[in-house]
This record gives sequence, structure tokens and C-alpha cells, in this order.
Amino acid sequence: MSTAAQRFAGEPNPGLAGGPSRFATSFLRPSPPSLEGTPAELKPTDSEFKVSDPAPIKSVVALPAPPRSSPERFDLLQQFVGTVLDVGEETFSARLQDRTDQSRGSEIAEFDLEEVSDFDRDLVQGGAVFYWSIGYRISPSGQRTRVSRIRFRRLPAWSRSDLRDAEQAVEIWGYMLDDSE
Amino acid sequence: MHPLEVSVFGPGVGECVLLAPRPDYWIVVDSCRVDGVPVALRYIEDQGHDPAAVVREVICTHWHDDHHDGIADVLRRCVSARFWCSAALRSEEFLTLAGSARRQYDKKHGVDEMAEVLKIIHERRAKGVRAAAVGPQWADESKRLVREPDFSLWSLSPSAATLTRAHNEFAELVPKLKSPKRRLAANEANDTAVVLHLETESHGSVLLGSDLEIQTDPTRGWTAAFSSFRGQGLRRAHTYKVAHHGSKNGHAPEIWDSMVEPTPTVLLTPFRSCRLPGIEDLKRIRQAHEGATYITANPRGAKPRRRSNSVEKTMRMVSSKRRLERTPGGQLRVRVRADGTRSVEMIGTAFEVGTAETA
Repeated sequence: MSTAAQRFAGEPNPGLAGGPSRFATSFLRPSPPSLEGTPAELKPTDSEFKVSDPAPIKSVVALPAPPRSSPERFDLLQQFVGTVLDVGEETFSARLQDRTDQSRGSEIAEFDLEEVSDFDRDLVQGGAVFYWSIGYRISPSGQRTRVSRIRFRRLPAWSRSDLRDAEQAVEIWGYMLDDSE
Repeated sequence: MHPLEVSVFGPGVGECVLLAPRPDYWIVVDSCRVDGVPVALRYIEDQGHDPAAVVREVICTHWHDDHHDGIADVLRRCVSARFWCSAALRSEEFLTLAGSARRQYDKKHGVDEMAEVLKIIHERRAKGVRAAAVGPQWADESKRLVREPDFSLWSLSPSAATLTRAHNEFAELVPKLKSPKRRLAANEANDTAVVLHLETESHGSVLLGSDLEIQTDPTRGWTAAFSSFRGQGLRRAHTYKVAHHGSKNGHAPEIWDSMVEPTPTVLLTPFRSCRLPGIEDLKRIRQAHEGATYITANPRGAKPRRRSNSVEKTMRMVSSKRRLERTPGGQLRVRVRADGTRSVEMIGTAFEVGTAETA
């Protein structure tokens, strides 16, 4: 069972009007918030609100700001959606549809299987769908590296409702198979 | 007397053949699009005809993307037409697949096209139109699909032995609970392809090979189709649309020895996804007969337009072989007069295969 303190740490608390934000804001105050109307089992204990006395401030020294570290990012230049047509021993062929410029017609391309990560290798089968992205990877320090990335899509599974449509087709169109028609 | 017309379209991937034994009787065999429009509809309109009035048969030879793209649009427009397809599709499993179209991940895989066809037929049947007039009608070996006073259209395949295998394959493709969605690929669909033979009273015969291939089992593939041809006592064809885009697997000796004339007009469409036909294929086909060979477009295709330098450099490092799948494509139009003379027009990217292409 979760305690009130655990809920302060960010879990949503469906038991309180206003949700976790009201509690979290209150936690920053030096004095306990008003908990009128809060169920007893959710009220924090006194020790959970105990704030130690701050040390007296003697002087303030301005330090230089640390360099801002932006996360690594990827500037996309070109992306294709590919469909695998044929898989050989060392290569596979695919139909590529340009996602960057959709006015372009589809292309047929051949790839080395080595271009596919080990993680995705089992997915390379006829009909599999992948994304081929080309762009610049920009490191936190601003260094640019041109990269090509092929990621295979993990497709969703057939659900019961999906299959219901398929089964209904036989009921609706089944008479067309009949010899007497 | 009007000439017999045979027109073959092929934009690089995709194929459509039109037969017009009479100006008021057009037969659409398979479908492909150029600029989003089915080539059959555009061409028939350009000739000054209303497809709704003159198209009497729409035939889908087999269930492969490059043969049925836009066929539902063709059928919707051609309200006087009957729909024919391979008897291999006559199964509950195939209907189930068609019914799954809306839920498939990849909508461009063909079952959506077939689902549309079935919806159109269902609507027409609901209005009281008989199956014999609207379809679906099922084509298989030794079947006369059309019997008119001046011509007959026969299907020579698929054989009975093929049908069982096809039904088993469809059963494997039917979606199963919790199995991952994938793009559908009917690997054995070529085996179920419908080979057609048009026999006219006064303009000779035409053989359309669809994508039928050679099989080691003599009860399937081209050997079975030849038995069907011989069994019906059909005449050799003066015009032949080569089977399976000129592949080695589609090159059955029976075709050249017994089913076409020694000097036929031979028509090809490329299939760039599999680089067909290759140079060796073209050589073999040219050597097999003494007539002329034509193709609707360059099988190797064109290079794509350049992208930015950064993108091009990276693309070349990862994939050195890239070609455009489709180009506007071309048309081969054969007109046969009653005296037996044939003329071939090469329109768009179509050309005659000569020594240069096979060198």
C-alpha cells in the first residue's frame, strides 16, 4: 500500500480533489498546508513536514554560469518508408516511398543486410516495413555527423475486433462462391 | 471490316492488356495506373468510346499488385462488364482475406482492391443482376469464357491440381489472433494465373501468358495449360503477350513449339521490382521465334532525380542500386486486319527489342 509520502513523490492521488499538484505545491512551503477534508489515512505525519533550520547567509558570490548542455539531437534531411520485396543471402531489395517529398515516385533499391542492426535482423522478411532516415546527429558540443539509420517497424497484432470484420465477409459475400449462382 | 486490336500497357511495374475483337466489345485484362488513372479507362475514352458501353469483360488474371492496380475503378465504371478472376480465388479463405482489407496495416496490398471489386458486384447483384451478367465468374483450365459468333475467349489455366494448393496458401495467409500484421505476399499466385486465348473467325488468334510459370509437376503450370490448349484444338497465335515479364520460369518450350506461330508478334512488359526481363531473358526470347519482339518500357528503369549532395552521398554509400519503379510507360498497339496483316505501333516508351538491347 502506498503512503502519502510516496504520493508526494509524483504518483497521482485520485483520492484528493485537485490531484497531486495541490499537494506537491504545498510540500514546498515551510509550514504544513491546510489538510481540511483530507481523509485521515492520507494526511502526512508531523515528521514528514519537518524542515531543518537554514544556516545564516553571510555573503553572495556570483559564479559564472555553467555551459548549457543541450541533449544530442537529430536533424532529419531525408526519410523513406520501405517495404521489403525480396531477401537474399547478403542483400535485400525494397520498394521505397519518399516521405520527405511525396511527389516523387516509388523507387526500388538494394541494401546490404549489414546495414540492418542485429536487433532488427529477424524482422527482415518479405513484406516487412522499415524507415530509412538520413540526417545529421548533432552532439551536445555541436559536432555534426552525417548518419543513415534503418529501423524496422514492429507491427501490431491482429485483435478479435479486427478478425470480426474478416469473418463477416464470408457471411456477406459467401453466396458468390455458390455453384448455383 | 474492323481490325482486331491488342493493346499492351506497362509502366515498369504493372500490366494491362486490352482486346477489342469488335469496336463494341472490349475486354480488359488486368489493370495498372498511370498518374493515378487506370490506363484502360483513359485509353478507351481517348479512342472515343464510353467504357460503360463497350467494355464487356473485366478479367483479373491473378492476385498480384502489378496486375490489379485500379481494377475496382475499371469495374465500377464499366457497368456492362462481367468480372472474371482465377478460380483459385473461389474460397472462403480468400473472402476472409478480402474482408480483412480495412484492418490490414498496408492498404496497398491487393486485398483492398479485391474487397472493392466484391462490394461492387454485391451491390449489382443486390439490384437483381444475375451472376452470369456481372460475376464473379471463375476462370480455369479449358473454359470458354466468351462465345460470340465471330470470336471465342478461352482460359487455359489454372489447372485443378493448382486450385488445391492455392486454397491451402490462402488459408495460411488468413489473419490469426495475436499474429503480427504484415504486408501480404501470395508467393504462389503466379501458379494460379489465368492464361487467355482469343480465337477469332477472321483475324487469327492471340495468346496472353499472364504470369504463368513452368512447374515440375506436369499437372500444373505451362504443361497443364498446353494440355488444355491441345485438348480444345485451338489455333496457334500470331500475337503473344509473353508470360511473367520474360522470366526464364515463364519460358516454356511448348509455347514456342506449338502455341504460337513461327513468326509471331511478341509483346513484353517489364517488372522492375525483379529486374525483368534481363538481357539473357531478352536474348532467349528473340532466339525462340522468327518474328519481332517489343517491350513497353526499358526494364532497367530510370535513375531517380538527384537530391541534395549530403543526402545523395549517404544514399550511395548505403544503397548503390536505385531505380524508379514506375515511369509514364508505353503502349504497344497491334492491329490485325482480316487479310492477316499486322501493324505494331510503339507509343511512349515502348520500343522494339533489337540487337543493341541484347548485346
